[in-house]
Amino acid sequence: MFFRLMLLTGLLIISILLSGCNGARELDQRANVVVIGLDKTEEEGMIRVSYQIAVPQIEDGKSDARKATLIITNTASSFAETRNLLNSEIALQPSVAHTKVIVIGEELARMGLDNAMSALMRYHEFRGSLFVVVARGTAQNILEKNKPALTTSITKYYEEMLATGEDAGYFLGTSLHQYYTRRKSHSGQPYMALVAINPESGEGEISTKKVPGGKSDGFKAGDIPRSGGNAMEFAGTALFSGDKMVGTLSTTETRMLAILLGRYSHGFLGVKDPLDSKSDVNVNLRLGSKPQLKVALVEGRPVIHVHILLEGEFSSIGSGINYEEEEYLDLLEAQINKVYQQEMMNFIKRTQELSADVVGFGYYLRPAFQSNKEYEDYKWNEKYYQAEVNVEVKTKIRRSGLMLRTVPVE
Amino acid sequence: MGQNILNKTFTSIKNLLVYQPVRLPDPFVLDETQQDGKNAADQPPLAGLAESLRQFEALLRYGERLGIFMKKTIEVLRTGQLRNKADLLKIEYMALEKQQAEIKALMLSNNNSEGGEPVISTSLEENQKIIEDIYTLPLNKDVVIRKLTIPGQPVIKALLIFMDGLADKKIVNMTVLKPLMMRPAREELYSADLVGIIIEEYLPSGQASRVGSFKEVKQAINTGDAVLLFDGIGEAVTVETKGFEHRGVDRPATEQSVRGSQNAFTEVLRVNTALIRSMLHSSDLVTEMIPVGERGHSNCAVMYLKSVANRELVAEVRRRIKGISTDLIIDSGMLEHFIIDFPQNPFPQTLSTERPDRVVAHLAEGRVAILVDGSPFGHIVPVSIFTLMHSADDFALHYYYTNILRIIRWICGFISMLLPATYLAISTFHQEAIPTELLLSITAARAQVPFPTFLEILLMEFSFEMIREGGLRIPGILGSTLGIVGAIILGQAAVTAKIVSPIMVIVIAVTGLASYSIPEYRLASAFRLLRLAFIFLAMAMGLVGMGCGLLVFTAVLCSMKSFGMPYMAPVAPKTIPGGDIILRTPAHMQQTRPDELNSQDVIRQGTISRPWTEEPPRGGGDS
Amino acid sequence: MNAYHMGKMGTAEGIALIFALVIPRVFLSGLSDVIQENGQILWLTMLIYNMIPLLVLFMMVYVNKSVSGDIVAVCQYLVGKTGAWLIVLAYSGMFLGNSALLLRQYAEYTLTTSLHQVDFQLVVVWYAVTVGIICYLGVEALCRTGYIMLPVMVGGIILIVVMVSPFCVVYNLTPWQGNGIMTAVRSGINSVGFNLGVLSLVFLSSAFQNAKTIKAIAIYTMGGIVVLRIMFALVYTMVFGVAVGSEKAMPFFELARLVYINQYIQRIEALFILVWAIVGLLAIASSLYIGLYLIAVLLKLPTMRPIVPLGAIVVTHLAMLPPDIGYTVRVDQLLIRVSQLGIYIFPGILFVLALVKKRRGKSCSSD
Repeated sequence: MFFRLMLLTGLLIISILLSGCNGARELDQRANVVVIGLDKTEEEGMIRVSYQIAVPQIEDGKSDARKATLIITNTASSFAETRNLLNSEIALQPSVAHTKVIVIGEELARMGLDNAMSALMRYHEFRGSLFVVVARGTAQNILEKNKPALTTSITKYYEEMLATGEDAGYFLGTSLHQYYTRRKSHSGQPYMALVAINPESGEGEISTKKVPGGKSDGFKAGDIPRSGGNAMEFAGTALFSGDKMVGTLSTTETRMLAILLGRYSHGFLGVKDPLDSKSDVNVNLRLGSKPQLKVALVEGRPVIHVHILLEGEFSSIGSGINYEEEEYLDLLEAQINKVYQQEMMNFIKRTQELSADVVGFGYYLRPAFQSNKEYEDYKWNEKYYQAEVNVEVKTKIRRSGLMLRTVPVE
Repeated sequence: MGQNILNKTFTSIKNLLVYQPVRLPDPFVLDETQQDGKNAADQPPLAGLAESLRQFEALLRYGERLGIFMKKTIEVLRTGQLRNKADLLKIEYMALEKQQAEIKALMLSNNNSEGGEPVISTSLEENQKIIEDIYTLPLNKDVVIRKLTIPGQPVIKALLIFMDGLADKKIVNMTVLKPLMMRPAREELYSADLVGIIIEEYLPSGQASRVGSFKEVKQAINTGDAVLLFDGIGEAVTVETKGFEHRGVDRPATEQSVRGSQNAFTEVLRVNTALIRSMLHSSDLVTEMIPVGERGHSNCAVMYLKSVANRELVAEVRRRIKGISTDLIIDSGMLEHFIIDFPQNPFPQTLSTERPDRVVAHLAEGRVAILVDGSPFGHIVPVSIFTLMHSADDFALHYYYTNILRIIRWICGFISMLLPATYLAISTFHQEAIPTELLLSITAARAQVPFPTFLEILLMEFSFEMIREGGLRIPGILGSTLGIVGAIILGQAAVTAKIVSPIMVIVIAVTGLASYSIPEYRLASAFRLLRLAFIFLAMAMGLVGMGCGLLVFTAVLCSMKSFGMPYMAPVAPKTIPGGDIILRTPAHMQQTRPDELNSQDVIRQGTISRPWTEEPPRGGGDS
Repeated sequence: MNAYHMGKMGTAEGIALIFALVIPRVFLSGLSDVIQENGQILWLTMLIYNMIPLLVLFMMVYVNKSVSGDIVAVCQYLVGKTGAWLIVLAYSGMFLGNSALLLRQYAEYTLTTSLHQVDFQLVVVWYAVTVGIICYLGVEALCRTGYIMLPVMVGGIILIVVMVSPFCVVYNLTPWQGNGIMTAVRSGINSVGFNLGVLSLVFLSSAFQNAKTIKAIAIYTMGGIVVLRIMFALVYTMVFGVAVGSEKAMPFFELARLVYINQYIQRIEALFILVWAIVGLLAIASSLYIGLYLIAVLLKLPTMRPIVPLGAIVVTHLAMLPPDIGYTVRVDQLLIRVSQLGIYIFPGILFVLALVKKRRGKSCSSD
């Protein structure tokens, strides 16, 4: 009996040892792809994929930022095929498990993403917490021209950037999970952050003019007037309808989107001084409570009520007028409300024209229905453009920074 | 042909040229013992021969004695002192008759038993012969035989036997020889119960007892007592005279504590039981002595509180210890392996400690302590794995601090078992779990190392074990040198020579440190063994393999019993805990004894164990 | 009978046993099927299919109380020898089939989730060996291990649920009727086969202390399971929505993959593989044990240990029979449907017969 037991154990152990590594790979046998860029090619049915691979830097004291990553671009008939080709081009086995961002070229986005995205949802190395962004121009250009200035690591750059988008609300980081759930729900349309390479000439291009009373122009990525720093910038949003990209939003419009989604952390808003048209007042605003959105069906037509509460603190009062007093405060708040309401109405109208409900108003309509079948029969996305929208913004300015009052100067 | 010239020349040239090896005597070869071969075939006749020889000699000696007695009687009769000496002669005559009857019985019993224990004969010469046979005298110089005569009417011839070195000479002289030889003569010692009178009136020793067989005589001499044999009496007297050199009570060598008593057991059984008694002053504390070992005859003490310990547990312990048949038990560790339920399992099923305060605490809970003569470690049964992780000064420190330390100990236990395997599994199978920055820096460090991770781990493990084993045997002066050499230089040099990667050094160092935090040495060794098994599992199947391994490990632990109590007792079969499993409740809240011990008395202290909190303070009465 | 279990087990171990038998399919693709059929009202389905076996268990406890002896003696008394054989063999087959299918599914999912290039047969053999060892050590070791691992399992599920809470969108739970209330009720009644394991309390009744213990175990476990399952299902629906949720092959694993707390705590699903593997192995081991126990009791074998390796080998071969994962899932659903027999038909017959015999018995004695 003992002999049989020993024989069995011996055979089991041998079978384990002879079975090979079972797909185990040492750390230095894998090449970690950190960014993937997808582009459309001129030919039909082909796709161009750029892989940015992180190269481990040996600690010799000098870490060369230029050598920290390696970019390889392949063109083939499908995403998986480019992966096969990548295997022929680098020595180590490629692994996309550490991919942080997928950059999608604008033309590919306009053509339709379902084909490319199906691999992302099914293959086990991709996961829902990946970030996806749309690039104006080609993704390959983005990958190649991106040289992070403050951090040496590409992954840190992307993660920090996308995590802090909500600070000003000028761009919103989206994950693959958000994109996909929005796409499959019948209650809204997906959106993605917009990136581009800035020519850094100091001149920009305004996409959205400032509303009367406001002070901010809206820019899209690549159009911000600046010079210096990393050429790549994140600004604006790409709107999708279904899986095709139908339009873009500028920074101010994205801020409205952020407020409506409840993803607005805090940002500076400048308005013209209501009492002194030559100077402006700047307020640091954040959402006071979650935005109250109500969608109801009136005779088959959707009616949307939006109620936003903003809270803020003064960050600069140029004219020196004592806005901390009650009656002046009301004036200023009314000014801010007017500016924001106008911007929001413009934004919603724009999305209605493109029939791209990126805010997700359809979600708020769902409780009105009883069963899934009824809701799907209603086809919200097609009815969105007829919706009637009422927006109300309330602002309360609670604090005034370091100064209690402004004493007028003779 | 004769030694002609040619032959002589040839022989001389041969002697000159040919190499003649030095003639050495045959070397010693350890062959089988001679009697083993001849044992089966020749045993009966040879035994018969030896037996007849012995009987013949016994008869001869008896004949001599008889001859002496008859000469004395003739002397007495001739000188006409019959009336005076009649009683004495009668007594001697009675003794001779008894001796003759005894010789018959002796021959019969010697024939019946196969070299068995001889009985104490009434003849002193017989007894002396038997003792010389047993102890290989006069070759064996350890045993001392002293002939003495006890004054009385008639004079009693006696023999004192003791082991030189084991018996304290002063006690032998003071308590045995002096009272016997210096007392005034007294009549009629033979008529009454001689042994009883000697014990009760003549020997001022604390422990004197009578024995009736040579087995007990041997036992007494071997442990250091002195034995008195008397002419004409078939019994012997043993007197307690133990007094050999031994180590004094010292600090514990392996279980140091910050706060708690600093006594430790020594190698003498009586000193150990005394230490326990000195801490637990209870009349319920019972010490049973059970001899173990055929040739060794060491004493084994089983201690328990009669009113608390489960009676069946005590009976089972007794049964197991009595039921061992082996040559020699040197250490309590050997005894432990004979009596535990699962000897193949590396996990310890008894608690081995050298501190009497721990023993006392566990005795009070209802456990049983086993001590072996010659070993400074005592064992406590039954025990669960949670008890093994308690350390010695948990009783004395505040429970917050104790609980944090206990949690750290448990985490260290898991680290010492699982950390290398987890590192191996994650870095080879599940690399996505490592943050990208860390991954890149580890890869950069590993890129220049030629070995796979698995081999690195085994290499580092082996070198760590080497350092540990070597450190045990280094003479004390060089100990710190080894620390510096082994740890810093080897580790640093190995990393610089790119044999191992720096993170491997960290992993192995943390694992080693964690294994030192486990209070019980055998448990730490068991975890070390399992660490290897887990490394193999992780190498083959990653985290899934480790999950399987963990499950089987837990299942095996749950199926183990320590003296009938399940090994994972308060957790696995869920019982009422005694307030002390992983975390410890404050002492004033531990009301019950642990349920799984099934002791006779479950309540340890009342619900309100601090009645003074209920009453108002009284204020100073005499201020 | 006492060659099978040495002593009596208590409430804690019973809870662990039933938990191990009943929970594993929540980790596999069962949830996707449920959500596809019912939509947002799946909580009603879960409530129904968890509560019905509880009632059935109470019925069986009554049966066991009124007729003394183990399950074979009970069946024999009520339905005769052939009926007893039929019923016990059917139950044994259900449990063994459950064990084989779980083994297959867990092995398949191991390949998909953690060890992508391992040889499939190696994984099956590995799991079977582990399961064999655990079963060999006896039901007490099995249940105690389950009890020790219980906080790990429940803690794992709760941790995941907490960590994905930033991704929850409450409106995914509306429209609240989902695909219809009647659909939910119907699918609930059809899916009671998930909880066939609850009846093992009656099969192992000699290992537990008394009927009160069995009832307590059943109530605690099924109550806890209902809460856990519904919470998990609701969170899953809130995070993914109905449409995406019914696409996912492994709901638990997908939730684990979604966890993203900051730059450093992400992609940690590898650590949940431990939880998942432990749950699976315990489930397979418990089902195997119950299946073999029923056979041993039926054939009046003196002890159960020698057939455990045989059972493990048989289950391994059964597990390797289906050709692909789709077929396996279909057979799995078939097994759940067939288990309804074990939940509705057999206990129903036994209960009715026990009532009738008791009434008849009473009237006899009063004459």
